Amino acid sequence: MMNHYEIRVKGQLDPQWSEWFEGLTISYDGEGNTILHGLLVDQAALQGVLMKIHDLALTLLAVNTIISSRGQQESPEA
Amino acid sequence: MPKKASSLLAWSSAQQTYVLFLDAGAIQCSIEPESAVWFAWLDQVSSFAFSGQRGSATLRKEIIHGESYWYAYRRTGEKLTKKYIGKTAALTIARLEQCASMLEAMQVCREALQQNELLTPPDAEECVSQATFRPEPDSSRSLFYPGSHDPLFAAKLQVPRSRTQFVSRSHLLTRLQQVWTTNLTLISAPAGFGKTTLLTQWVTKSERTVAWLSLEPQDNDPTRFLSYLIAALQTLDPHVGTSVLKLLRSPEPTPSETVVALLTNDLMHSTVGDFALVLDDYHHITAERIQRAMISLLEHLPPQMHLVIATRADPSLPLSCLRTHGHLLEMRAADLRFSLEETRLFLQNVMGLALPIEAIHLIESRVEGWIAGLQLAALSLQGRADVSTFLSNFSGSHRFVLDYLSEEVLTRQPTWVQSFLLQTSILDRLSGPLCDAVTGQKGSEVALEKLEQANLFVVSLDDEQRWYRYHHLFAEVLRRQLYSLQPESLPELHRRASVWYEKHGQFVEAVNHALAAPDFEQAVCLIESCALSEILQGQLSTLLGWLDALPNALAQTRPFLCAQQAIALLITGQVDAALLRMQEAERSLHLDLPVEQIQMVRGWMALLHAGITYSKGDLRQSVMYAQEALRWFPENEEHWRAAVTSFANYSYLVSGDVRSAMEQQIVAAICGPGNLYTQLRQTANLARLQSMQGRLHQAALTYAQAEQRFPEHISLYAFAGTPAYSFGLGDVLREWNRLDEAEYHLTEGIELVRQTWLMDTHVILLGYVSLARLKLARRAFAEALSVLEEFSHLAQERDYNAVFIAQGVAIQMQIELAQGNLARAIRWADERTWPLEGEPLNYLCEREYLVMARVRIAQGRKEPKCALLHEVLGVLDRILKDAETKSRKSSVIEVLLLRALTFAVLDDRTQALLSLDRALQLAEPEGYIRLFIDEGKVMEALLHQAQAHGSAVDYVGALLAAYCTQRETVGLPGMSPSGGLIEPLTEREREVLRLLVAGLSNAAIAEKLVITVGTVKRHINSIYGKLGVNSRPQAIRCAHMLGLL
Repeated sequence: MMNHYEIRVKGQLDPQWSEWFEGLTISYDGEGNTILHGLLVDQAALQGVLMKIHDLALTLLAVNTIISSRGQQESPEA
Repeated sequence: MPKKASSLLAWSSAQQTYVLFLDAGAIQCSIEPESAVWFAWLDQVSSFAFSGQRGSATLRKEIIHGESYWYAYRRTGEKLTKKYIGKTAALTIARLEQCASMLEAMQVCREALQQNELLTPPDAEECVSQATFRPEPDSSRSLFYPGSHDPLFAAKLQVPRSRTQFVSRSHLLTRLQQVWTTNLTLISAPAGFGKTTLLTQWVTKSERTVAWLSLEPQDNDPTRFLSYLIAALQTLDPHVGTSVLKLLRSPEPTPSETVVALLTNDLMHSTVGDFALVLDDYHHITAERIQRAMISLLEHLPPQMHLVIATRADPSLPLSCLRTHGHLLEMRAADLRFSLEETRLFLQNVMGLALPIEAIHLIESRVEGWIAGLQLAALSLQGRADVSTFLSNFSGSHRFVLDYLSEEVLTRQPTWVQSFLLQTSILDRLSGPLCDAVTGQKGSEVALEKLEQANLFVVSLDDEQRWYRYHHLFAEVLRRQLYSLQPESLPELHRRASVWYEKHGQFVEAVNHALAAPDFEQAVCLIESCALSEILQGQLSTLLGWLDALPNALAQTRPFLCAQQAIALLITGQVDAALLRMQEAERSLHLDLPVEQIQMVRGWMALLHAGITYSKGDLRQSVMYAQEALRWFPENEEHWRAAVTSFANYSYLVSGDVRSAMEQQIVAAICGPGNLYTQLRQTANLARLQSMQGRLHQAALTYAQAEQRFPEHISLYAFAGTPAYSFGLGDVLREWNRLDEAEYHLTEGIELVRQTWLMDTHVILLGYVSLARLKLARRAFAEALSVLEEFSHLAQERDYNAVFIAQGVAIQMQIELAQGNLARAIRWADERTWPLEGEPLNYLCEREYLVMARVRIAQGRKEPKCALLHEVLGVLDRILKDAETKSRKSSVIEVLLLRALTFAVLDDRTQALLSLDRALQLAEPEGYIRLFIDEGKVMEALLHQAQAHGSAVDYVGALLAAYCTQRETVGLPGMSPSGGLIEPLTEREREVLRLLVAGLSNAAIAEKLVITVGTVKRHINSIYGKLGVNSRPQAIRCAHMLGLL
């Protein structure tokens, strides 16, 4: 089952990275950070994205699973 | 190699003490071993000779870590055996004697076998020894490396060239000095923190030896990883790991623990001093088997070895445990970041930028000591007039540093450079010709050189500057750009790379690029052409990874591929998955496939079933499948025919037919193609057959030759595939009544079985049965039974064939008999049936039949008129005939002995002695002992009679002497191994015995039982006779042990 994830990293990533990160949408939080969000197939896919973030030496701030359309959050900080 | 020692410590039997001779014997000294003077002397000398009461050796000291370690050496002919003793403090007389006697024992064994060799007429064995044991020329060494096709094989083991100029990080280098006092150094930080550069600096400055291994994504395969690891260690000592490499080359996966055990053993015995092994880019390693191996390595790290791991993410190693015990030196991102001063020095010295301190502050606050970012910033600044504008824009932007700066750097390059960088970013490594092929342009070689000179994140990988790679981070940015700017070009670029690699024989890379394209057709063709052949050499994880990457639907339509996958799965022990895949292969087989492919798939199918049935111990089925596979595989498929032949060659264990035709067949398999593993297996097979032929000396010699195949004695024992060796040799030694040596080999083999998952069920059975019989010979019944219990547990757990389990039970009954549990043994025998008249005998049941015969014989002793005995004779004669026809001399001797025992019970002395005489004639030249004395006291009596008749006088004398020794050592006389006391005590004798044990004198007993003292004496003599003792205390002990009271 697909899951909706929201990943926050430090710094503003160029939108072109979207494709690189499994098509996750790139937006900014106004505090100089990037939010990658969208659907991923499973935990393994999430792991893949996190590895790519790590490979780019980006600073990971948070990973959240969005479980309902209202955006209720399940797991807090990564 | 030990030098000739000038001092000698020797045992003087005249003085009954140890005497030390100094200066080549000129001075005789009275240093008392283990005294303070003794240890002070040891501190001064580096070697001395020892000649003790139990053996001699040369002792030599090696200094590792400033600590002294002593080793004992002994030379036998060409062979030098070395044994680790310990630190100086461990050098006690007891320890010296122990090591010397161990070395002595090994020599005696070797010499005995060498003597046997002289006695054996040269025939087929010549061929065996020459073919199996041909020396491996050193030049072929590279063949053992899976990566030998890799042009960068050597480059991976070199310390990367460091830039001529760098910022010297003296505080970090000082901390790195602690590498030499710690087990593991972990440098863990994201990309671009200068991990590799730091280590390069450290290595350059280090005065001690460092081995280096740069890891890449494709090294996440256990075989490949371990091969490279060994290759790196061999840069320090070429002897380290030579036998492990041979193991790795065989298709059956070797347990990582075994590999590590062998490696650490090699290192312990190596003369290489303190050294560090650097594993760079370790984050590519995630395979569980590799992690297990590394954990095991850390647990058994040789004292002179220090491990350094550089990685982007913490490895799965017991870090917190190492940390707690102070065995871990850590450097993390926070430690590696450039300080403000380092930033300044870098910009100024390395990049040639003299900037005002405010500018440096600005850059520093933005890149936060991240070295890759700093380098990009410097590149953007070079040759720029408007430095302050750039800096204010840069610091005012929130854009990700890498994005911001790489764009700055890229857009400042000429168009051709930009396009070159983008197109070649798909490559993990770059070379001129490869880049030419991928870009479709000429002149890439020059381009790469220019990029390197311009500091554009191109790293040279070898001294000849033929191979480069991009800095990881830069490559990521380039790939992302290519991905978003020209996604349509990706498949073509990968395809070109795949074609180039294929042309240059680098199949692993070719397949990887074909899969990345993705061009599955090309990938499938490549895999099908190279998969299980010489290319992979045990890299099964790589192969299975590829197959997983292929769409299932495609794979299912390719029977050839499915069958290959099934074989790979079988070899890695995934039997169910293998069967499933093979079924898919069978389903998709269609007639318009090329004939050769159909033949191969059919052959693999039969091979798979041969393997599965073999591993369950169903040898009959296995041999049938193997023979079928041989019909399918074309003549030129030597490799597969050899693999299958090794299964087909077990037919003698099914039929019991060990005539010379069978022997020739096995010899041919040893001489034929096949890897070391197959050859060793077949050699063990040959020895097993020879021992069934009753040629014990030849069998022992064949085992010994297999041992010589390995340079280091220990390697063979740790060789996962050959407990066959330990068990086979152990069983022969057991038969020769050399029980201590036999036990050594047998238990060693059992250890191997416990540690590994071994396919060879018949080998496992042989080992457990032989060990149980050995314990039985020692009359350690409980131990014997627990050996069999372990086997039965193993057999159930691994779902062994019923025939095998039944053999274990049969031996258990033999032990019950020996303990006097006749009723239990009879119950067992009653549930079994003799082979039907007219039907061929099943050799796999022979052991059972022979134990049943023993049960009936023991039963017959109680009821001499028992009709069962004639039935026994009938069956024994049938087995005898079968064994004679099929040259199974070992069985012939055993059956003749049982016949003799049967006739003895039937009171037919003539026939009994005739049978025994025949057995003696056959057994004498090969020195059988246990087969006789395990039959107990009746056999002893028969042998006495045979001696009186003058048959094989010397041999019978030796056998009777063995009886005496047995009686002394085991201390439990009078018992027949088959059925308690040979002649049970009468009720009256039992009463007398009870009173005797209670401590009554003869007169008191006489009074108590109201008989004369003379009668009491007669009873006591009779009891002594039955118990086989000749004194009161012995009788009492015996009565207790046998539970006669």
